Amino acid sequence: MKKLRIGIIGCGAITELKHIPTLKRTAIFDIKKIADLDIKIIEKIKKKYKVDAEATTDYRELLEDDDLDAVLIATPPAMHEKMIIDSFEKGKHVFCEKPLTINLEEAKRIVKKMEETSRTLFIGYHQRFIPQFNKLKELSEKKIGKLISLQSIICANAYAWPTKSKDDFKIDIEKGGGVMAEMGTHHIDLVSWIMGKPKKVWCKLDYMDKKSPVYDQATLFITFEGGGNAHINMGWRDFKTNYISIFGTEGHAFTTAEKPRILISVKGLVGQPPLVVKAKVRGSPFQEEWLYFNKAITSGKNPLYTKQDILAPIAIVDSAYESIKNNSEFVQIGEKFL
Amino acid sequence: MSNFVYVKEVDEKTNFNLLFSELLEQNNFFPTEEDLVLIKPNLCDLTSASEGSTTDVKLVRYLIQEIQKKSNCKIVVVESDHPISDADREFEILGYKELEKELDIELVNLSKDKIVEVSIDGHYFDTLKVGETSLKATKIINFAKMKTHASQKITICLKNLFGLIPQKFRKEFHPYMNQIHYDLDNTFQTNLCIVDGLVGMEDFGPSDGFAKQSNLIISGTNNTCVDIVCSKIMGFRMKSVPVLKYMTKLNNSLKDVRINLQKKLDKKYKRNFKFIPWYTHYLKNLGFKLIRFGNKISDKLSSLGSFSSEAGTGFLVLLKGSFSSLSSGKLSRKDAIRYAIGLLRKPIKRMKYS
Repeated sequence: MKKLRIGIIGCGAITELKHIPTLKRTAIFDIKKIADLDIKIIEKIKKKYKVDAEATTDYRELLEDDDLDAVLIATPPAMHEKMIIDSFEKGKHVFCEKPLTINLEEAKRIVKKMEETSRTLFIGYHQRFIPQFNKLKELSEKKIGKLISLQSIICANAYAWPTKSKDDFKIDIEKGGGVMAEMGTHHIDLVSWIMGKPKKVWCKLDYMDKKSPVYDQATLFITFEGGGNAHINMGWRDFKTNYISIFGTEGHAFTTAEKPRILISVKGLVGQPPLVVKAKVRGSPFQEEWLYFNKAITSGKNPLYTKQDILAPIAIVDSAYESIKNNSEFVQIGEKFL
Repeated sequence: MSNFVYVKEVDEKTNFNLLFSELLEQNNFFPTEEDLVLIKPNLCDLTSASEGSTTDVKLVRYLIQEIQKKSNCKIVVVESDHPISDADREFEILGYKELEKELDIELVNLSKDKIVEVSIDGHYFDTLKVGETSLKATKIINFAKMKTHASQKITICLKNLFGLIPQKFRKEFHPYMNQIHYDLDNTFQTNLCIVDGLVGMEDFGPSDGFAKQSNLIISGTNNTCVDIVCSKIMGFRMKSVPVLKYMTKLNNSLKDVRINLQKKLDKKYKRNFKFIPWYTHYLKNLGFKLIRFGNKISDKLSSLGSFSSEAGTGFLVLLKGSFSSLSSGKLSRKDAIRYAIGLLRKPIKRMKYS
């Protein structure tokens, strides 16, 4: 892996809390430039983390730097399309925070540009790098037989997240807010990664907290081309859970994000408690995703983010909103990939 | 083995080849063709040496070049897996793989090495599982980094030997570090100790602290002596460093550690590393004491010890406002409060739901 020179666009909480500490502590990255509308935030971060990088308020100025290999785009989702396309045009590889966009047409334009410019696009779905979720994917391919169903729950208190922007996108549906687009896409991504190409989506949105400025509960039912289905529950509540279970013709496995282990029941072990399978822990999920990004750029191969991987979660969210408009009817999404 | 310790100040004009050549002479390190020289750098995560966490690969390169000028011996660089990273990846990302190709040496991940159990009858271990390569080595070079350590105060040569234990998860050993350091120091007879003090780490070492530019290379042949000198350089009283207190109690001659120039460390070498707040250090060590005691009489006391150890970091976040670690990123005061409230509520909730 070669050392990559990184430019950062957007200095919100995720950049400060996760990406900069991770980049600083991984020897194959060098933060060279940082862009944010608020120069004071950049200076504060630079001082705090002892980052020797140039600061600018204009991301286009950052992109003009030919020395940069890649950029981290960590701005609200509504700004992603233009920034990503501009970055590709300037020859930069892109690590974009999730969700890529909430609009399928925007996502398609991004993918088109990515293919035209042969640049690497990575989306910050770090939960793929939680070792037990990664292991679950491996088991789903080898030990569970034909996948029949997946159940998952992701729930946390999003309001506890130390958002810096006055214009908080997570409470604005148009800007990528709401529990499904803002947090739930982690599981939508995991589910489509494990289950394959989605076919139909049914969705229900709710306000569990009546004072919530945006829907805080979402339930999705998705069918897949292979014949399997998935049921995802997403909530913003004052407790945390992150659980996935997969059920196949030859076994059932489930895990949570808290412990690197999977409980698995397999054929032939009648009357026995589930087996415990340990997942191999390496670095933190954030460090793992950055290492993957570096490897993808260096090798020119990006197996985790094929066109389908990029578009599927967005197609699901897009269709889920359509399902709501159609009074929770099932919405076909197969052809939306085209 | 002598008690002499050599401290060299370096800058960008320093001829490092010459420095390492002199350093080998001063410490009587003369390998022969039959020797298997083992170099143990400190690679505790994927952070670059300039951040103060890992031994600088550039320095290891100079060292190997100078050894190879003296002898055609076989050289291995070893490290083992850690909970937050693994040795193979560290070798690759920190530039050691390139060194392997360039200088025809071998990199060994001790966690993947053939494991051999040896009887040592030590202060902690009766028997110790080690990588075969570390047993076969005829000369050992301990190439440490100058860093603070939240519970041990410093982590330099003695602590670097901890990486010779091949198992990945070693949390159970943490309350017994003094005894374990003693055992490792006796088991692996070090022929040369070098400390990369170009950039050290202060505050919350060994991984979550801040870089401290120090521009020093320290060397000797006795791990404890080198650590004593480094603790002085870093501004810590020897008696406040648990492992040094432990080692000097066992060996009176160590109280008279000399530096090559004079008995008292020259002021120009003093660097005064910042350390974490006293309460965090105290709670961590109290936690380990409780665990040690609890392991003898009650599991509940061990749990309280683990709690105290964690609370040390918790108080630091609460009082200082934030703390950044590799595993969890930056934690704010708000996170700590939520976590603490959850922790306090836990026994009540457990009763309610049981």
